Amino acid sequence: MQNLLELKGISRRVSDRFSLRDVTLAVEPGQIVGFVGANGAGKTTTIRAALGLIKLDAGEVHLFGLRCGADAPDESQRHLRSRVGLVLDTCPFPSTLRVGQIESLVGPAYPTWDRETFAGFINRFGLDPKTKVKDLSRGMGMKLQLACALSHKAKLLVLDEATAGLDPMAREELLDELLAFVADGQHSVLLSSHITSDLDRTADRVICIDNGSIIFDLPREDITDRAGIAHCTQSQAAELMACVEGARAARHAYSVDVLVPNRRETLEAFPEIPCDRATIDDYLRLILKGASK
Amino acid sequence: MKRAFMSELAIVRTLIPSIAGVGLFIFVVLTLVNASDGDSGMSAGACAVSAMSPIIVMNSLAGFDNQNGWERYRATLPFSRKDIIRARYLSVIVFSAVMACAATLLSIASIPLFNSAGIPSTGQTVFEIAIASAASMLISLMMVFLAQPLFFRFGHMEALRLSVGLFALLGCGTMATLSSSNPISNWLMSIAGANPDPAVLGCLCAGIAVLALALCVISCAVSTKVYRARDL
Repeated sequence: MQNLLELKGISRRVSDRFSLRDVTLAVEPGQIVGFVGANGAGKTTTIRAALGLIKLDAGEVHLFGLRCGADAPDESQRHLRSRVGLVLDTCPFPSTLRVGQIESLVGPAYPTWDRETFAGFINRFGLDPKTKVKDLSRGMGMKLQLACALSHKAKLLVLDEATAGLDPMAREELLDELLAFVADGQHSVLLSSHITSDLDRTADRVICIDNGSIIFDLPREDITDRAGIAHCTQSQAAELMACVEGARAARHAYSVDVLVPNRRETLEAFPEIPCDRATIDDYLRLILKGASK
Repeated sequence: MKRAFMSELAIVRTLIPSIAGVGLFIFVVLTLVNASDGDSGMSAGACAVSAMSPIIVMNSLAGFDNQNGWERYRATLPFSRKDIIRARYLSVIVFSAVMACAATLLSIASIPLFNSAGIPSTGQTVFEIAIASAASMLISLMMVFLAQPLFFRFGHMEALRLSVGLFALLGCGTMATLSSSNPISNWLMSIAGANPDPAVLGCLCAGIAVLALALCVISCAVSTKVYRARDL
């Protein structure tokens, strides 16, 4: 099936200290793809590149199978962007506008805008049409963006740190919406976040970026079900690191955590070493900060 | 472009009450103060409102662009950057024209109140107010067209500083040209002196309109070029 979003080897020098380097990723239909990385790792820059907001030094962006990006013809950009919904970490609408006026701001942009759907979401999310954007809480601002993103029959949702700063209930609600959105197998979500617990629950794949380069791109199960964290002594860690391909170790005061790609195999080979399931947080921490053999 | 303009109108509509309020205040004060100067003074309020509207709306819209990341979000909507630029120019022109018309009509409607001050309700007075108001708007629009590419290139705050410098430079240049005796000022005084010929005034206004239109086209092209090259 055709990927909804595909970045092929994109590179862009942003400053003397930061560049996107050969970033390749794909979002398949029906998937929620988690895009993780530390602050300043390049998540937002990658999303800006995917949406054609910055020019590229190299590489290609494909949306719905067609070449897009900052240099694409106007008509093609209009057509492709009309099928993408975006939710940012802060509510991007002018602060003096009221919730009810946002429809006349965003709605005209989309030929497929559905007024009833928008009104339905506003009602369902408990947004008061008379409230000014500047008076919305962070969660309400995010819901307003989500209402806009879901009211024009978007095929791909891009969320850039949308869950940052939300309380657990609001995050839960957002994640439920995303799961419902992809349920038909035709729609997809690219969810950039550094709150990895959100991805533990929802993501089908997890892509990690660090310092402008993709570090890993794995099915979520490979991290949360297959990989493990072995809690070792110094000597056990040395033995494990020597035997297990791809193991990464993080040393603590009295123990060593070793990330192993296959928890069951490790438990069979080293039954005396306790090995827990890895969370995406553990995996990310050990891949980015842990030592390899 | 129509879709981008409709979206832009959603913001412009919110500006109307505040700008109209300020405009009305300025109109009343300037009309009362200058009406004693005769029919040319009578147009002062309308001229001021017509001149200030393009600059205020340009600044306000640029301010909204840089608020909460709206500019970046808008760039992800299905508008091309060319659409965004054209919609902005059209919004400024339409808003300015509406404000200038409103100020002119208000000024004309208030002429009878000043009949006792020696201002006649004649066609000549009405024509002069309309022409003065239109010329003020067009000259102000030309300033906007000069500054607008700066806003698209540098963003609101930086462009505001640069445009103030640009306007000051233009103002000084204009005053220096008109205050000294030279062919341009002599020609202007001869055609728009104490008792200007309506036909000449009309031609002068049409000339300014043509100049403004040419500047608009050039400015729009430059803005599109710089905005396309900009990372958002």
